[in-house]
Amino acid sequence: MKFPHTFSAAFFGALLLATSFPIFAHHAFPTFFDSREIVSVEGFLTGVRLINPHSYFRVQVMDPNGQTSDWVFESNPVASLSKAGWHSDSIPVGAKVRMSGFAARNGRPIARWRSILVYGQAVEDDTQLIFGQGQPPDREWRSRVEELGVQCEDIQNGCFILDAATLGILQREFMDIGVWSPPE
Amino acid sequence: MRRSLIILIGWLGLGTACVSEGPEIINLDEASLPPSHSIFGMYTGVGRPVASCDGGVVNGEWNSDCTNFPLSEEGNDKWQSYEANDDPGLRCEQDSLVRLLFRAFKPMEIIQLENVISMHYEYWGVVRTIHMDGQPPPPDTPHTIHGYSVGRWQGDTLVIETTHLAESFFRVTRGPVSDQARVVERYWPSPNGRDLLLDVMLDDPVYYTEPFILTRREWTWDPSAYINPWECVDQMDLFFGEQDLDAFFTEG
Repeated sequence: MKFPHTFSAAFFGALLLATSFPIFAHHAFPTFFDSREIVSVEGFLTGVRLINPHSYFRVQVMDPNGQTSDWVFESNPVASLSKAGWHSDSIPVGAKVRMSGFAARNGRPIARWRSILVYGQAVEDDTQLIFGQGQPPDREWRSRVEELGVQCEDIQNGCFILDAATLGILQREFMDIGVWSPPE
Repeated sequence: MRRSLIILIGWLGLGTACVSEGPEIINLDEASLPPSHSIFGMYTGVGRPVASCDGGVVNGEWNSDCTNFPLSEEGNDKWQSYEANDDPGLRCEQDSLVRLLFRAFKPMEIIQLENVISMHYEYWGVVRTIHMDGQPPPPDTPHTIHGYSVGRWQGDTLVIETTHLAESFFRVTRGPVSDQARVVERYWPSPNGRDLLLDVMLDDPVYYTEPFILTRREWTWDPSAYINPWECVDQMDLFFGEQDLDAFFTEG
C-alpha cells in the first residue's frame, strides 16, 4: 500500500482537532510539523518501526463511510526509546489506539507524536497513556494524568495506566484536547 | 589581529554580562574553577541550553527568539533558501559539527587517548578526534562536515578550535555555515564540580557579520549512561516520496 498523497478535505477536516495549547516556541521539527495543528485519530495499530533517526507507528483509521486510511506518527530514535524500556511489541500490533500529534506541514497523513492512548480489550480494562517524549511537561492535563495514573512497569518515561474510572475523570475534565474520546 | 582582539574582548565580556530573560551568564574566570577537575567521562541530560532558548548569544544578549543571528546579506539569502527536504538527516547523513553542537543530543562521552581526545556521540554515531599535539592542520586537510579539530588546555578548560569545515547548517534546515567558518568550543567543569558546561562560538566571515556565541550548554555527568549503536534508515520517502508503507513497516 502506497502512502496516500491526497485525501478528502472533509475527512481530513474531521480528523483535525485544532487546539490552542501553548507549546514551546522552539519545536524539535518546526520545518516538518506545525506545533499549532493538533491531529488526533483513532484506529488500530498496524505497524511499529523502531529505528533511527525516528521511530514510527502506523495506524489504520476508518472514516464514518467505512473508508480506511493510514496514518503514521513519528516518534523518537530507537537509541533513546530502548533505554526508556521500549521494544517493538510494547504496543501490540492490532491494539486499538488513539494517537494525537502535531500535523505535518505538507499535508501528508503523518504527525509528530504527542500521546498514545492504548485501549484495553474490554471496556472495563485499564487503558495505557504514553506521552510523546520531548513535549512540554507543564500542561495541566498531563499533570492530572501523572496525579491520577499509575506508572507503567516496562516503559519508564511518561507512561501511565488509567483504570476506567480515572479515564472517565480525565475525559470529563479535559474533553476537547484530542488525547481521548469525549465522554459518551 | 583586530578581529581576533574584538572576539577575545567580546567573549571575555560574556563572563560578566547578564540579561534579564536568561539565566545568569557564567563567570569564565579560570580562577573560580575547581582545580584539577577532569572533564573526561560520560555525559547525559539533554545537553540542555543554559538559556531560555538555544539561540545563543548575540552582542552580549541571549538570542531568545532564536532568529537574531548576525547574518550577512549572503547569509540571509542562504537562510531563506532552504527547503524542508534539504534536511540531510532524512537521508541518513550525519549532523555536521555545528549542527551537532547546536542540537547537543545525549549522551556524549569524552575520552583521553594518547595525543588526542576522542568525543563520542550517540546521535548519528559521530566520533570526533581532537588533536592535542599542538600542531596546526596539515596543508592538505580536506574540508569535511566535522572539520579538523585542534585542542588545548587553558587551566581546566578544554578549548577546541575547528577549521576545514564543509558547507552545512546548524538548525534543522537553516543556519548556514560556510567552509570558511571557524568554530571554538570551550568545555569546563560546572561549579558543582561534576557536570560540564560548553560554549560554542561561530566565526564565519561569509555568512555572518561578526563572531558570536552560538549556544551555551550544560551536560550532566552520568557514569551509568551508555551509547547505543546508531543504525539509520533513510526516511526521505516517508515525508516526500512514494513510500511503500507495507514494506517500510515490515522491514528490519
